[in-house]
Amino acid sequence: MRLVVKYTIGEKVKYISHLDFMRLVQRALRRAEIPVAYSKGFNPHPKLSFASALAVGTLSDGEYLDIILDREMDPKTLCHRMNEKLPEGIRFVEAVAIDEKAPSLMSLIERGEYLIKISGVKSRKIDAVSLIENFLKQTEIVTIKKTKKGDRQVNIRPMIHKIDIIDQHQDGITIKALVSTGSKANLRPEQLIEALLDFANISYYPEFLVQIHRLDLYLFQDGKLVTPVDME
Amino acid sequence: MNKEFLDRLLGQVEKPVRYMGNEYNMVIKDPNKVDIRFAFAFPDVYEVGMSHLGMKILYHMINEREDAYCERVFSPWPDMEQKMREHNIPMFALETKEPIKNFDIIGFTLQYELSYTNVLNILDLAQIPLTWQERSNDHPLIIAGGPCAYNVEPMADFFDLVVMGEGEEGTHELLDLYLDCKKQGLDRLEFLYRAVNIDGVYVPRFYTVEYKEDSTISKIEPVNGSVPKTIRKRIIKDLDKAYYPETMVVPYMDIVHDRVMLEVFRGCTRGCRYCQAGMIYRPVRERTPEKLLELAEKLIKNTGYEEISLSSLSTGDYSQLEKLVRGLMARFKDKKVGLSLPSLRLDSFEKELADEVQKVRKTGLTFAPEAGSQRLRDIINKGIIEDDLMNSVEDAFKSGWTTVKLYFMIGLPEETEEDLKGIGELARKIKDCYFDTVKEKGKKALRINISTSSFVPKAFTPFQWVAQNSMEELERKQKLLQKELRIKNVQYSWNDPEASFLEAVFARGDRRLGKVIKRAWEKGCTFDGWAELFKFETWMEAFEEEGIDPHFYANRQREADEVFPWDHIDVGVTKKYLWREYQKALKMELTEDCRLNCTGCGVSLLGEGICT
Repeated sequence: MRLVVKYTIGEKVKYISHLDFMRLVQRALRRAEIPVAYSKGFNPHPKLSFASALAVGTLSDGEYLDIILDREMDPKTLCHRMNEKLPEGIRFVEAVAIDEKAPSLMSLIERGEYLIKISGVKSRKIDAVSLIENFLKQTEIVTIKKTKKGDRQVNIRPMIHKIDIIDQHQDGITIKALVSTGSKANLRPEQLIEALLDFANISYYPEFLVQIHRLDLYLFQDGKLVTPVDME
Repeated sequence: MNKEFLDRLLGQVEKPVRYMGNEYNMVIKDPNKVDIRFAFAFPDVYEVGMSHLGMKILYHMINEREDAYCERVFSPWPDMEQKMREHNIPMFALETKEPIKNFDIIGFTLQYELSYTNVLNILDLAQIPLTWQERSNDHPLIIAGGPCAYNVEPMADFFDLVVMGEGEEGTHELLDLYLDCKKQGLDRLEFLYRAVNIDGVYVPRFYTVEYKEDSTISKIEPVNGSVPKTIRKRIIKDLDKAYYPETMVVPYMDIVHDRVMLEVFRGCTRGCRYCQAGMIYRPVRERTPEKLLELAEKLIKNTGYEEISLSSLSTGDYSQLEKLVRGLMARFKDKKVGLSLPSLRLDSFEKELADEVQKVRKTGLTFAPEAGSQRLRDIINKGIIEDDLMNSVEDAFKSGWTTVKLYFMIGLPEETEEDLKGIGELARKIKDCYFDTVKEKGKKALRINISTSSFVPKAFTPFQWVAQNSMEELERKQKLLQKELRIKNVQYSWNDPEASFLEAVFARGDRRLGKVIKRAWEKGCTFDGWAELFKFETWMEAFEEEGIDPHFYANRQREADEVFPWDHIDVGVTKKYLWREYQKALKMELTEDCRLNCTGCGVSLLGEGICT
């Protein structure tokens, strides 16, 4: 039986790295006595995969994992049993059964939605509405991507799909951004913020506080964005 | 402390999970509802400290008391320390994030000598004066335990009280007394005078040390008649009845020993003459397989760990190993829980057993012959014969193992160049054995990893009289081995002789070294056990500035009748026995395993263990 599980990452666990998180889930599965299927071979590992790695320090309301069980289990029971055995800050919100043969979650995800709060900008008053408007008017937003083979220029404009201003406060703004996420194209929210600040001519200084909160992940189905637990 | 601020700070340091707490099975209590706040401090970084079994036991044990809350403290890595100092954040405990300066008791575990400066650093970060002389009744009681507590003299200035031996019983007695004194409003000194009546409790300030002209000790005496002359270590009589946690904190990050640890027995009967653990943890006391299986079941259920390791000295000596391993296999094989057997002595390694373990997960194969020749192995009483070793290796190769690790020591007493060359010969023999045994080549190539550590003479061992090799001598030996082990499929690694030298100074040091430790710490020494942070030059300056010759402690051969700084501590094994063993070593005479025959070490006076 194959299940897709939606879970959340809260304040108390936001600094856990992706690798540590995978181990944590595996141990919680054993504590909860979930009948996870294992791979064959010398080093059997549970058949468990994650939709998208979350950067250290990021909160999330919409994370997904894909799990294969040895026998049938009510998805609600799985969530309930896991929530009793997970550390504070991680919650399994919802689980749905999906077709065993469906492609991996990781390959399906195309969009990520983020709530980004920037504070600590003391320098001057900024007209956020026109800033965002002009930022999005650009046909090209070139950033430098550091890779093993050296620095590479990347145009991130095609990966920014929507930016809404949620709130303007005294020393910064809160925005909601929809960007490309997944194996086809991926824009990290940090890159977006860097480009935006660069565009606004605000240099990055330590008093800055950027809080990133992933709201959800989406895939396309019949031309519409749906979350992995809503796909048909 | 402002927890939000701390949270932000964690975003700026390496591995923030080290300071986060909130792990699964962390104990949460309302601090206002307890009488004693206890900080268990491990003076090293989180991933090292969290691997320590003693801490797991005492943490959960103290927390079973309703009147006490035990929290954990680890040394912050230098990046975090810098942030803490920059923002004036006092050392806090992981559970509540509250400053430990407001706690009742801070208990340090002293696992290795090179963690001493970290003890000072934790106290300083906690904003607590370092020495007992500077502290008042309002400061927390600073106590210590662990293997280095048996010769705690170099750290005597920094602790109010030291606990000798196993802590499962003494800790409760100490906490009860503390609470009693607190309720009566008694001051620190009155508490300490009462505490010495608890077996195993040592209060360094209650003893005076006098020195001879040649700088050796003339006598160690209690300051008055109400203090015992000697302090005898505590042991737990029945391990099955002793407290053992049924749950363990499951860390988020990958720690050194990240698995369920089952302590199968305490003590060791082998009598290897270099080994301090083999002497100080006597007598041998075993847990029954029934008890261990029951614990394993609960621990796996409560932690979700994917691996169990059996923990003890010389685990292969466990009298019911086969029964235990089969029992564990039967219970956990289908649950994909692996089993690893550390520190197996090669003469007790059974092929069949190795195959059992292999069924679930393949772990590395490790042997510790310790010395390269039979002559030297006899001197150190490592009762291993080369044929046994070769048979074990051959069996291992037959069962599909391709990586073999071998541990040796260099700088052992009476060591010659021939003994060192013996290590190379052994490596070649093992290599030949592999190619003779394994006809069809597998995917993996043969790897023989050989590592040497430098011998450090320790208190309470037959070699406590012996001079450590000079650093130059140790380096010369390492160079010789580098040449000797330039063999295909063989990898040689060695450790820093300077660190071993410092370890040797403190392992047999006296109280006069306290000021050197303080000086070195002031000059920036911390994490001395970490090669990348070890500042040997600074240490040598500290010795120089305090007018103390470290070679006096490390490289000096002692006379038979020398009074040692630890002579007032009774670990059960007598000084007479240790001397006899040293003399036998010089004559290359073996001493039997005391499971076979009592060898008269003196520990039977403690009235427990397999020898009685």
